[in-house]
Amino acid sequence: MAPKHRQKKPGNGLPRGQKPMVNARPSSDPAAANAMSSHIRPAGQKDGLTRKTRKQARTHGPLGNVRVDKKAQAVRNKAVRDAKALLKSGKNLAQEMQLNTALKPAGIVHKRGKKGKVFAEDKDTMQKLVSVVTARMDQVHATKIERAKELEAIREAKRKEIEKREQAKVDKLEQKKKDIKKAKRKGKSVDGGDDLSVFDSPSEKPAKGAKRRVRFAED
Amino acid sequence: MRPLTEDETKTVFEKLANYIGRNITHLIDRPDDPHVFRLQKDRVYYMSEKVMRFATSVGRPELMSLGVCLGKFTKTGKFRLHVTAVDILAQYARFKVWIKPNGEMSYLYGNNVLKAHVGKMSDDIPEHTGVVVFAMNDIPLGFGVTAKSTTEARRLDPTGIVVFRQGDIGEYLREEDTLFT
Repeated sequence: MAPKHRQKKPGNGLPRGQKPMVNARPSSDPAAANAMSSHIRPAGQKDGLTRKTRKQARTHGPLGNVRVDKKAQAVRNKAVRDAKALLKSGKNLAQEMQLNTALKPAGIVHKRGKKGKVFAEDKDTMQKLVSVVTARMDQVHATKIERAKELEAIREAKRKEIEKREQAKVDKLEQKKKDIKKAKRKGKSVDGGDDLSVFDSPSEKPAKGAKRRVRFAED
Repeated sequence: MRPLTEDETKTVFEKLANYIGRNITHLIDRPDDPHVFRLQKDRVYYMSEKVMRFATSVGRPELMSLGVCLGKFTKTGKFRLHVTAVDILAQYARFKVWIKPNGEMSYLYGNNVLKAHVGKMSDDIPEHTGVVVFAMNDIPLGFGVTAKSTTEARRLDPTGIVVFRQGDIGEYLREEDTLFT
């Protein structure tokens, strides 16, 4: 019995799973609720894929999370074709191609020989070490001595400055004391009576160290 | 027993130079009786070549000590001077400090040197420099590191520390168990 041919449903022309585009309609239209779910596909992209499948094709390959690089594939295929051609020609493949760099990676040099200690037994080596070490020690000591001298000089200068200030204060105090004494003496001589010494003749003036006497004018 | 490598020799010389300065050449260059440095079980020994040759006939596990022990290498690779080196240090010391008789016992019991105990000291000793400590009759008592320079030490209080003790001959009694093991 011949199979029945099912009649195809009249479709909207889109591939399976693809939703039809919804054009913007006025708000009075009852179908306007669907307007928010619509998206506008940029013109030119008609590959028949959904957005989800298109994204997956970019990041996922047939092996999972691996991207297939077609350029690298082409280079490898060419190398394989060249190798086959060389084989046919009869030449030594390994010598000609030198493809296998797994055993001897380029740029890496392995040290050969037993790992051992180098002893410093001879006098020349020891003298060289001594000179290096003592030069550094001398430099360190010289710097320390220099710094100590500088600090000492700074301390000395500060000490002198302080002494000078204190001396200035003491001198000021002494001067003030003298001034007060002078003023007292002058004040005593003015308040205690008329100074009639001005009327005395110069010959009658008492000596410097003698006691002063006061004479009152008699009527 | 084996000779020292370059790095080990440099480390040892740096330590010795702190105490004896350029006089290390006197240790290396001895035409009358050449001396060598040898390493045995992390300890550095200084001995004449004659003694070294005798020591080659003793097996490594059996060889306990040879010559003069200068010090030992710690697990981190640093070199620590022992009191057994004080005679060699005293012979070639660069900076010296003399202690009064009333301060000797305090130092030999393991205390630092105070200003009140200092009898005399070399001039122009920088701060934090290795010095050898002597009694007033020039007997070496130990070695240490200065806390202050000579000029600053003059201004210190009597209770101020002048030298930090690093090793003293009192350790022969105090550290008897661990000194040679």
